[in-house]
Amino acid sequence: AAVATDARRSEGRARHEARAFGRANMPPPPYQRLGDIEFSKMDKVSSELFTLTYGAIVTQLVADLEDSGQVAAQLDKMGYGIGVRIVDEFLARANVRMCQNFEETGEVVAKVAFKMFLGVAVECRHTPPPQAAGADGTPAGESLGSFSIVLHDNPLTEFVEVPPEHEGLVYCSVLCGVLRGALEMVGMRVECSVVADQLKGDEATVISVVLKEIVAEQYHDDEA
Amino acid sequence: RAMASVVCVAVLDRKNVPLYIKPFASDPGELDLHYIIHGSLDLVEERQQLLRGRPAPQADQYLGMVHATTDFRVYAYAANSGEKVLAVLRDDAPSNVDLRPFFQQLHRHLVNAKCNPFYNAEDSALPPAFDRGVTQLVGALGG
Repeated sequence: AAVATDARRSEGRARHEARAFGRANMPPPPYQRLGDIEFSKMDKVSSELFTLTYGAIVTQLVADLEDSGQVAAQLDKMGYGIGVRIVDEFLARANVRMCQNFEETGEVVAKVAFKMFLGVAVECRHTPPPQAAGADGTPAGESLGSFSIVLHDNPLTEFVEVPPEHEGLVYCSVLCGVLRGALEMVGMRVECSVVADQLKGDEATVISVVLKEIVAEQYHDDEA
Repeated sequence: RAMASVVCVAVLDRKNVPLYIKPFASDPGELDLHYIIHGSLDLVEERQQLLRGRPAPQADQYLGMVHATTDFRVYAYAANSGEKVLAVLRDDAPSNVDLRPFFQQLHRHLVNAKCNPFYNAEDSALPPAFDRGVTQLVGALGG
């Protein structure tokens, strides 16, 4: 039975692509190439200006709030505001099909979205989804998944060194917020956190994204 | 060559306030180093005056050797942003040493260090990345 559904799904996928790309029997485009194409179409701004702007925001928050945890929470909130808006821009520009599963979401986020907006190639590491029923009542077998975004190059943190008095600061918190906001707008409630940080000496900056809930679209009756 | 040629690197801002002074050898003592550097500053300014009149002034001025004592030679570089970098070499270093690329790379490290949003000239020292960069440059040069 599982094989049959897959065959039906891939048939549907192929037909969808034929419509989307106007060519019959075309395989799904590798997301990396799509990301590169979209990046090349975007208007560019100086990366140093971007890095310095973000640095100015963080240092101002640090001066105003003093507590690293509060600074991270504010950055996350700012990121959320960016995320809910940037996802529309993303969907409008990038010619991506609907993701079939959370794993694909991770690939699209890493290879297309990060490339388009930050100009860097990031890796997506998938973790196998849990098999048992979720604690919030999701039926067994419907796996809520997770992936990790791995950044080796991070334009936010170029030239940044966090001084020892602020060593608890999670400098890249804004990215967690962006991911959370963007995915929420497409029906996925996720929890994001920075699990490894280049500024703290780790080899790469790793953001873990865990799918908590798929929110069905709610249609409100406009009439009174 | 048993001894490293570079004895000390110093970076001073436009008001001659030291931003960074790093000895790379145990002698001379720190106090003597400060004297040598401080004493060289007048000579650095003199050399800058000399070059100011010339046609096509370089934005970043490599001032060459500005001071020589029996044991040491002081080379200077004035960045266009006003900082001055001084390198104190032992006298037994080859006399035709060109420190221009060394200074230029050091200036690059300095610019990168100042881009750190947490760096504040009044409060903090230059970030450790700058120190690492300079140490690496000195290693490549001194042997």
